[in-house]
Amino acid sequence: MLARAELLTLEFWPYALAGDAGDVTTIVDFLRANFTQGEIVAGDSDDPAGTEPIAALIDQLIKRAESDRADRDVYYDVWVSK
Amino acid sequence: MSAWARRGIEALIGRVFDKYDRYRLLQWLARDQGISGFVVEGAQGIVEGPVEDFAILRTYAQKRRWAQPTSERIAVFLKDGGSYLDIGANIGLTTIPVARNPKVDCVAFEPDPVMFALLRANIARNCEHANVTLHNLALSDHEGTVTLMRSPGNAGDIRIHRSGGPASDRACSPARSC
Repeated sequence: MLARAELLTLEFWPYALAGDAGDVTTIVDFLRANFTQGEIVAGDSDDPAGTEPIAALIDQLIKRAESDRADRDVYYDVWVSK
Repeated sequence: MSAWARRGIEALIGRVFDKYDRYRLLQWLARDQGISGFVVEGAQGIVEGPVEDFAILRTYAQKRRWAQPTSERIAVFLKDGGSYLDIGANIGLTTIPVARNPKVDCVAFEPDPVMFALLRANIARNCEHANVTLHNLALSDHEGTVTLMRSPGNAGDIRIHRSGGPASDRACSPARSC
């Protein structure tokens, strides 16, 4: 069902992902396989960050999953589209 | 209490406490007075949430908006209508602005029964087009029942329970496959 969405938004929270022993690979593989572009915005920001290709967005998600895994207050709003 | 004393206390609180501590103080006073919920008016609507929540409702109260870039992106994307699924709708801060467009059919899923009651009230209060369908469900890859684990102080952190944690922070929800 999610793979058929034309626009998908999600909250990306590295702290919760790490706490639940979640695997960021599962998320990024799904995004890479089904979407072509997107945006990642810090959760407390009101400013758009700009659309980028899905590969660049995935690089950011992987880096932030590691760098922000211990910070409970850091999360991101992500959208991706076909 | 005299007006002079009240102004003095307000000035003292404003000087001593930052906005986060003032919200903590507000939470303490609410609990002391038996108040269980706060209602906040902002860009997403008039929204009620639990007093204990220091994450979502506190952010909405202090900024008077929620996930604004994402909210605007969705509104533009669905300007001509469509279907919108909110999986983990919480208290409705994402669904409410989408539902302002009567050409969008919204379906919101929230597994936690406490959050679901607030979601239902907030949708009723803010959505006039009868274009929102609500389900008190978790979505899963199998049918059954899941135990949810609540996080003290963060009403947005509700996870499927695996082990540990106090029993008072748990709730059950039916799960439907999708």
